[in-house]
Amino acid sequence: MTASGLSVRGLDKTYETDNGMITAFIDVSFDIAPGEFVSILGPSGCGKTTLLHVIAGLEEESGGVVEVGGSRPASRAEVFGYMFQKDLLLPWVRVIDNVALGLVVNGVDRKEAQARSLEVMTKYGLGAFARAYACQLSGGMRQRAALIRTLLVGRPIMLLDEPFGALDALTRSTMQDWLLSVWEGEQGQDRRTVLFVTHDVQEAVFVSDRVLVMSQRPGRIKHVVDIELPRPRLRQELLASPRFGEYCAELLASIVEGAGDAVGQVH
Amino acid sequence: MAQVLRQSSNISAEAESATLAKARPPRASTQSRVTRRVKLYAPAAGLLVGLVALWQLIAAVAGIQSYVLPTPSSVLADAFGSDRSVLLTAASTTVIEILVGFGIAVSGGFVLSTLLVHSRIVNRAIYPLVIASQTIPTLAIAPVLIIWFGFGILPKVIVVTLFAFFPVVINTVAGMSSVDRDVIYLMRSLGSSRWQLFRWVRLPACLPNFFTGVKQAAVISVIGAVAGEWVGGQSGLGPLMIAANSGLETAVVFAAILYLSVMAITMFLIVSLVERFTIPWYFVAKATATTRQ
Repeated sequence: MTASGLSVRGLDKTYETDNGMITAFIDVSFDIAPGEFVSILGPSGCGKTTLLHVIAGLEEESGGVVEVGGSRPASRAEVFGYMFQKDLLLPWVRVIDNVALGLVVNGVDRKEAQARSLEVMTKYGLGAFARAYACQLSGGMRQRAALIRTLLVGRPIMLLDEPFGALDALTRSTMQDWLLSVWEGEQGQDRRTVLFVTHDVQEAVFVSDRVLVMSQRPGRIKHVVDIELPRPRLRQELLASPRFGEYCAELLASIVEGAGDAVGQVH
Repeated sequence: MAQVLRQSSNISAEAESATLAKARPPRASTQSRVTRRVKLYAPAAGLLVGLVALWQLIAAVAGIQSYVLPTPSSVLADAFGSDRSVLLTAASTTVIEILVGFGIAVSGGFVLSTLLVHSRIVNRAIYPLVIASQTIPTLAIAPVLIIWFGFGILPKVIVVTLFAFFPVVINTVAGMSSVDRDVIYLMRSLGSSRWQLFRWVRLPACLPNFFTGVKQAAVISVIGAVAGEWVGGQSGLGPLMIAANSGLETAVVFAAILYLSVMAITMFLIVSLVERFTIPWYFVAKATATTRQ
């Protein structure tokens, strides 16, 4: 599986509600090179989850084009791995079968899927919880299981929708480190392309190569910042470095600018 | 295992032990299983025994006629004593009506629920009829069924099925259709087909609700069989109760009620047992949810 680039051109999404037509986002265009880690940063309600849904094919775009590796994909599920904010582990199967779910759905024999899942789970410290049920794991562990589930399916582009938003701050930092170590662990051409959505400025700067700032609804990309910080991203060093702080300040200013008009709007 | 966790994910010591504690299943209590069982059932058993003793006392001592309030001992004598063959024969007829009707209601109800959830047009056509079916009074329908199907067992089986399929359908449909939309998104993002969505999500998700419906159906089946017999039956516990009532053999009536209660309770317990084996995850989840608080 080689990583692919993602191109989005003029994407917009409008939908009907009881209150009339609502535009989630409008004229969104960007290019992501293979193996790049890009974040979309924006306030809550700006349409970034909808944008990810549309790219993944879970919702239909109202206009615009999504291209992977230069052409429109025939099946979105075959090029995108999606990770949700909720772990969405199924309560009725054990953790190992949850992690194996992606493989099983794609035709892999159950025993083999379980074996592969157990291997990766053990590598990342979840091996002992294979036979447990999801409700017996903590939030961080469930999100890790969910990420492994997505990784195992082996799609070239990963779409991560605020995967750590529901976790406490401490667990969130741990998970960011872990995500980066997993991603950086993939060598050369195998290193996947990642599109990461978040509302957390520090998180965006910490994990990405580039940050796209999205405006309030109707969302559009209003600012792009290249993050030139060395990899691997070491938390202690980065938090102490002035460049990190400057990036955060620049992005925060960009989000806040124009957000004053949005105060008082009902979402 | 603690070492593996620490090395591969840099979790702090406190977070790690909190994680381990949450990951272990709830600890068994220090009491023995027997003690726990006794504590669980003793209050109900005690109350039952107490009420029966009180009943025996009042009936025997207060000079009440035996056809108004028979003593528990006479009821038990009729139910299990040397003359019980009449009751047993009647019960065997009723039990077949119950079980056949129940079986059709549960399997047919499940299939119907699946259809209702997967086809909007079938849903709109049939769901209102499902609800309307419950408004047909037994008193009205049973004689009609007898005209159509004769005096055999079939009309009563139909009455039982009519009553019992309703809770199965209502509960199962609710369970199948109340799946979190994000879980559906998850399955689609993995590339799942509609069948896979059913097999991995809708089907297991509806089982707790399904079993609730089946338990209700079990109890209703017993009442439904007797009601069907009352209105147009010649055999079974229903007509037996009517005959005994006319002959002022109230103890026999009570004995028949006892038989019916035993049937209903037995069915309920068997369904609960099947539930335990079929959806063990549900009980784990409930236990975890309550101990967390």
